[in-house]
Amino acid sequence: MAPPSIPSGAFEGLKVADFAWMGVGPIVSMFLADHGATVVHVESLTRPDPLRVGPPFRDNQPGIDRSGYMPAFNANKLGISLNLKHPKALEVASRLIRWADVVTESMTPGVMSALGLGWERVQHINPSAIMYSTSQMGQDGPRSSYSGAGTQAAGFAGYTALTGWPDREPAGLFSAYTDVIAPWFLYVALVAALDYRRRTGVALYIDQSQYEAALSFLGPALLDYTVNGRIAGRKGNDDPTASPHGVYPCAGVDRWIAIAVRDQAEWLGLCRALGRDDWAADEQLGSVIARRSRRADLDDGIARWTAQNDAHAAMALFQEHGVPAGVAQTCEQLFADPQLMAREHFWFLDHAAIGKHAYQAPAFKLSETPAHPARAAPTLGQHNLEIYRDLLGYSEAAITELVIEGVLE
Amino acid sequence: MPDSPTLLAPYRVLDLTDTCGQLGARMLADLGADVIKIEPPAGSPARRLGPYLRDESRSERSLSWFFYNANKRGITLDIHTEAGRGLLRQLVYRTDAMFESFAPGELDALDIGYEALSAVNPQLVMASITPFGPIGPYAHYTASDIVTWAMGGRLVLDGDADRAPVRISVPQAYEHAGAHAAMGVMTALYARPALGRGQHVDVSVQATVAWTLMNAPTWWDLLHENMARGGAVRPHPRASSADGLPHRQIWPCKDGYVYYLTQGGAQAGAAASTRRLVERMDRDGLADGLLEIDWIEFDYRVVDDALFHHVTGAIARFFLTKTKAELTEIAVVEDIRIAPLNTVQEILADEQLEARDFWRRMDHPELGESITYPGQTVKISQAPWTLRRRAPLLGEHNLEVYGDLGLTADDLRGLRGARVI
Repeated sequence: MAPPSIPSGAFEGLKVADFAWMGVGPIVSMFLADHGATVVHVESLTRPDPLRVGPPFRDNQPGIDRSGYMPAFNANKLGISLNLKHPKALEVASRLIRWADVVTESMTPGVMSALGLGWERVQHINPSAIMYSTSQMGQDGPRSSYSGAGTQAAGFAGYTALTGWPDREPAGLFSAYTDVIAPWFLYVALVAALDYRRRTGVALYIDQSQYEAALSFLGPALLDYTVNGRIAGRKGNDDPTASPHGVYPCAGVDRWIAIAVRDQAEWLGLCRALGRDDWAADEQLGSVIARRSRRADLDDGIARWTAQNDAHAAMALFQEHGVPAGVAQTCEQLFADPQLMAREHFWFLDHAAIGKHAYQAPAFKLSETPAHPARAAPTLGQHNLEIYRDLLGYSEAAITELVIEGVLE
Repeated sequence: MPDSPTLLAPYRVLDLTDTCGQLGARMLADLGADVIKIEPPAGSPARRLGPYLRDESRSERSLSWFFYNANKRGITLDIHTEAGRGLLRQLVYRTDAMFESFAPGELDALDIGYEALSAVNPQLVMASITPFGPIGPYAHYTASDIVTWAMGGRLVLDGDADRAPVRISVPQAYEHAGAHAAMGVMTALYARPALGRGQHVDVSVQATVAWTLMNAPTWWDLLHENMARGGAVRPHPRASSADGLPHRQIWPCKDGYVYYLTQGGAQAGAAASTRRLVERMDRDGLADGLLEIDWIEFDYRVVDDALFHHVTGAIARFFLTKTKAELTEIAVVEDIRIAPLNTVQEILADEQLEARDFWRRMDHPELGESITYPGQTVKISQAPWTLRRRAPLLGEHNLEVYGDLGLTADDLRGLRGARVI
């Protein structure tokens, strides 16, 4: 008997009908696509993904296919256009669902059902399709219809209040932080559900509240409240278990290095690197607690030194002495980072509208069935002909009809 | 009454992570896998991280340990002894997946790295979490949470412009690393039947941090602009530049802060949300001439500075008249994108979480306590996310787990005496 063929991707042959938009939903299906799944991403010109509509645009020229944002979460997918609000769209969507193993969506709860594409309908159309719905607050509850994005959810989930300094108002949190927590939990659950289906034949529905998922990165602080009644507050860059611990200015404009000293060995290493024999000899600085009580002094001394030095050179020196230290890198520096280059973290793919541009590979690298950069994100409706004709079996005449009637807008 | 099935019931997982990536194995445990935490005989360093129950910083009191190791069983084992490594190989023989966060090469040097263990069990999936990945000039750098947060590009993005950038006040990098490791493990387990074997999963903490950057990398890639931190008043990108109109996102209210972005233009729903806010302000007599503004035309990227300040001034005054709870209610009822900056206190009182049965109680009988834990990260009705057991005491399941290998209580006494377990 011939040995089973080694798949080129972990999800080779898996079929995904991807109705999701924005961040969380598409990121999860993108990781499936990165590992070989056939993901058909469904969009509409009548209601474009907000991530298509905002910057950064190639050459600063706005256009529905010119933003780099939507592509970042939709690599390796095929793209079709379909106006789900058109009365004839339901038949088309049903055909796609019948084809699929997985159906994804991330609309405000109730919207998919109103379109005739809720879980009960999906099950009826295709009893073996798994479905996930990811939303801010979850499918039920008094606030399920709240239509914010991840920037709002980060406020609800406590992260925004926790970012900044104890002596001033919160400093704001870049972008939608819960959008880069929720997908990891959803992906793990989805793959587990795929495995469960393979073992039992049962296809399940996953309802994710991004707010709930995000709380799992706040576990210790939540328990500190439920057990001790303590309300976590902003700490700047302070850490109760380390000293010195902070972010120090380096030479140049807005250059910084993060340093964390957790034990005696790291402390002595730092002293050697800075040439501070006085600190090394000072028994009053021999413990984290002792150093914390003099942290203003220590931070000042460290900053005076780092301000004279290039951040990367300082990092190299500290690391030579066994001190945890890392440059606060900008994206410019990430693209030049030798570690990220060594693991081919950035893929450069040829997009039909904006040419060669960067994507991030998954941060988990599999040794035998790694992620593969096959294609850039689709322009809106880029694969309409292929999908409608070759995958879903519409005749070219039927497709023309759909176009004329506005079903594929 | 029979338990509901769980998604990952057939799988057994060994967790050898220390303070980095503990959450990964927990994510599989939460979906039903049998996860066994393996600690040195003196206990994992993760047991010495606060916060602590009643601030008692001693053994078996770490709330951090309780959280990251709920749903796991626990055994002790010293991998630095030959006998300990022998036991590990026996365990691996019956294991589907393993998580570890040793320095690159450390397990290989002990002959219990992926190469050695996959020879024992070719079906094994092993996730190795390292700060920067196993190859490259930084592979042997020493890291901590803030160091990887910095090197992964996230640190520069948050904070006030007139001070150093800040992290989120609670460590996050190691949580991301654990989560990505779980993703890699699940992917490899899924591929296993067709591939016929397990795989090695390489997770770099730095790379997982890079995945928190949203659109910042593409801003650099397409326009060579680095995103700037800006605090509560963030310079918002205009179409042509990453510097822009100061765009307040954090607003004081009567009892704290809310998040709100004054938006208009083409962005889905943004213009309508602003219009509804202004209409609500008007009901309090605080609309201050804003009713006339066409919000679809109001493009924050090009709008007149004076107009922008007029608008934001009026909104600021309105927010100051309301509490977080009132503004949250207004957000829901009026469909306006305001969000409260909740603290843990408000999260615990949140009726939305209550309605979804989010919180779970877990008994800790040896402490005489029952503790409230956060619950589901996904809701799956027929094979649910569950919280089934509290984090293990040190060596709590040695007898059970080693017993499955055929060891007796006497054997264990000997091994304990020899400090193998």
